[in-house]
Amino acid sequence: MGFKEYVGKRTLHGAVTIFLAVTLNFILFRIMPGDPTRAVSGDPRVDTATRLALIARFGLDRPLFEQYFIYLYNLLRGELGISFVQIGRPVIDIILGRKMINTIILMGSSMFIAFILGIVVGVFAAWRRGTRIDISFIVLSLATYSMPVFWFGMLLLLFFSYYIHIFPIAGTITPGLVHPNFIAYAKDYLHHLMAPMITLGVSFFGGYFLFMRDTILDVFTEDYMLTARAKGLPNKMILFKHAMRNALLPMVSLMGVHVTFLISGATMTETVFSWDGLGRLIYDSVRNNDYPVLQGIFLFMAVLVVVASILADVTNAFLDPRIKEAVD
Amino acid sequence: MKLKVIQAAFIVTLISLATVMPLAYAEDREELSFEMWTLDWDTISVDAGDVIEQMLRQIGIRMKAIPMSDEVLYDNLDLEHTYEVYQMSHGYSPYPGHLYSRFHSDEIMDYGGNNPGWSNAEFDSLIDQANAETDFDTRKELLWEAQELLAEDLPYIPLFTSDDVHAIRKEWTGYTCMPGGIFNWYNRLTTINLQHEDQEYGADFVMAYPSYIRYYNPIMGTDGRSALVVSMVYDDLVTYDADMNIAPWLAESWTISADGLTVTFNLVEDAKWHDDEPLTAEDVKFTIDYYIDNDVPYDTALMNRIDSVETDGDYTVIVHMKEPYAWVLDDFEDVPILPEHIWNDKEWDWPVHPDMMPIGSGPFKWDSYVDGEWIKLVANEDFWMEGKPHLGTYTVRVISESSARYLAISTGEADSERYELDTGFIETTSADPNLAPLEDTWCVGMWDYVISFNQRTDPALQDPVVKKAIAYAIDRQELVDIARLGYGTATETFIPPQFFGPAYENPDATTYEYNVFLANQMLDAAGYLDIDADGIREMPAPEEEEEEEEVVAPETIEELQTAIENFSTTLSETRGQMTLLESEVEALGARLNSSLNMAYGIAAVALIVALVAVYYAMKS
Repeated sequence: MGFKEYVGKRTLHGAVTIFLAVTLNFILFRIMPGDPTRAVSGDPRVDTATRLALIARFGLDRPLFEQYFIYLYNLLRGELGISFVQIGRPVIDIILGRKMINTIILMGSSMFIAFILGIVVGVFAAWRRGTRIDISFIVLSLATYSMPVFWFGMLLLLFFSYYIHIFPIAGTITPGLVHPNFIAYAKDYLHHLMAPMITLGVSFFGGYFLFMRDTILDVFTEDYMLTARAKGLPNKMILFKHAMRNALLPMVSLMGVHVTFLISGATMTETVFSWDGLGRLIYDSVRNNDYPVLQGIFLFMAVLVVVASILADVTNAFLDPRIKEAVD
Repeated sequence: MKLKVIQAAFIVTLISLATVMPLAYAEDREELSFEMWTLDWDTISVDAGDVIEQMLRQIGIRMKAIPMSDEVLYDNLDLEHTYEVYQMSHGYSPYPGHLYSRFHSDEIMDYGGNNPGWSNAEFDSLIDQANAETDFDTRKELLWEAQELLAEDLPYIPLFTSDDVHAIRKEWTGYTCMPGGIFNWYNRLTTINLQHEDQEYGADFVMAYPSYIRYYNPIMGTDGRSALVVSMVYDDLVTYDADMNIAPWLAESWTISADGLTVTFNLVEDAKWHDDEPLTAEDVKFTIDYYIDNDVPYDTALMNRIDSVETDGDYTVIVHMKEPYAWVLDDFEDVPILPEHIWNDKEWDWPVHPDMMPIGSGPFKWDSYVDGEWIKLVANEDFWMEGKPHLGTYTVRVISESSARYLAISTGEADSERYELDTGFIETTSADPNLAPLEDTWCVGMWDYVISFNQRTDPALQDPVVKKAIAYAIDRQELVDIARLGYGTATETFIPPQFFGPAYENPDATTYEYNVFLANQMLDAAGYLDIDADGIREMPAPEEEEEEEEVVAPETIEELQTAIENFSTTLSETRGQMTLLESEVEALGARLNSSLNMAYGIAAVALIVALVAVYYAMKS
């Protein structure tokens, strides 16, 4: 089997996976208890006639199988449907808009900070293994890792926004303010970003730190470390040039797995800080049984994961002769 | 392999035991023991449920309070109808239309409002008459009579309203306390009169919302969040005053003909749309025709009864009704008048956003927004009412988390919030020096808590004696004190005058004052005795079947008349039972359908799993 066939096969597998995801998405949300028509009517006080009319309009009175095929047909035409909750608004507009950008910025920045901090502190702690500093970092990271993120967020909110008043309480920008230029807008946005970013950064830090520390300790046992030491290289060089570089590889693949976080967001943190992102959208949609929006987000995530893994595999196969040989 | 067989045998045994056990333990006489569902996220419902459970123990009834998620609870009310008792709030609209929507036998259907499935032909006819009666006093008498029937049979027992107390910063004045709260969509008095104590005009007000509004479209914006914004941007023909009487708004006066078939509105003359087009009778006619021609599924009760609309000059609208309708003005309070020059080529579910900002004629104009985060409204300088509104801007800001909302109001980032205080924040708020004292913001709430009895399941719940005893055994004021820390109003009647206005005060209404002794006596007398001495009463012994009465042919005209009357009563009762039966059959069909659907779903999953398994099996 040649390289081209391999790519073709992977793509086919990806397509099948996406189809399965679509089907499971559809079934999953409908097996969940709860009636979407309550969300359609929006309010328990809406009278019965109104509710029945809306149910009929959305086709929710039709058999599930018919609804499924309509959904598939619409997907093939590139239609993700229309939100039940915000009637009339296409799902694609709701997902691919401000909310997605907000989530990517929040998740991206906090993961990045946690990643860098995790690496640096992880290397440092591994080097000083067994000392008091190492142990206090482990305790600290275990604490932040197991701390409920919404609780920590509330504490930050109380401290920074209520007692010392340096961060705003909610939102991504100041309501009602017209910004004179982009710099002012960005400044305002960053000001709002700080508290949720710190919260998430702290919650991610523990995991990255522990992972990095363990990997470095593994690397220390490798033969080439001994060689480096025997050559009489300075500690700094051994640590950052030899140990860290090799330990970074598993770290990067971990980061790859975490890419979906960029889209799925952090529901709790976004809710505590009223950050208008996709995580909160998922939460609201689950609460209101807004199937079209949920299906849209999950489909998007599935496609992202599948495409990313295909790309990774194909690139690996292209670059790494061993995989290429195995394929052939 | 052996292990698996043992496991399987074990499971099979367990399942069969679980099936057989209840049968083995079945008793001869049913206990007065019920499951009462409460709404798990609503602390008021859950707390009140626990208190009721304790109270009813005193009269030998086990009413087990079980908190349920709203999905399960509402699914059951809408479709399955298999619950026994629930206790939660329903929510009043500003006029007592709920007697129809909660108890009329027309509403016994899937998604219908008659949750208990209660049916009474006499009640139906009283409500039908009341709905067609345009004279207020006659209508009130009819509603009182209907209310007496409810009080006799108690399909539900009204308990209390959880009242509206607000966190609002103390520098704001001019708001009006109205049943339903100082910030409710029909409280237009607050909208136009709210002002800062140091700044009569032009102050900036920030309102915290738990989530973003659903609709920019005024027709669909009927949920609490959107409706407040819609009511500020759009005008209706009439509104409510602080005592819940209909008051002039866009229509400065109106007349209803004696037969109730012609309603004439005289509009204010200087109303303008926000884009400076004049608002005339043509726009009102257009709005009504638009609802009718497009089969808009909102306000159908009103629109279905309208025959035609004509205008007389620029400021008079004449509505011709097909039949007289009691709530014609109340329903018009809910119809936003739409600008013809914008809506004439739009669908009713036009999302409005993002094409353009909503154009209305109300006291506030749409200024700017960031979708999902905030909306800024500015005062309409050309508003037709002299000197209104007082505020300069009104900003709606989303703060999702309730403690964050409280912190925002306390620090001044927001001035108030859309909804009443959660019970958990009442104490903190009343101690906060930055906020207005709670007594100033305390209005009777629209959320009415009831304990409702399904008339389809347990026969004991169809017996008025049991329900009356329960009504006597519940101390409503104590429920309020525990579940809502006192910020609630105990309700004794089905149309409580505390909410619907003093006009509905009925001195002769049947009420059930807290009296445990009487409740016990009633149950004893009706034969509900605790025969096995476990503290829970049992059902009375089954009665011997009575012999059928002999049918005697009527001999005089009077006898014939009585016979006919008796027959017609029986007939209407039978009709009531028929509707009940029909609805049950429908519900059964729906259940069958949904289980079929479920079966299809599971089959599909199984198929996929099987395919994957086969694929891997073949591969290896």
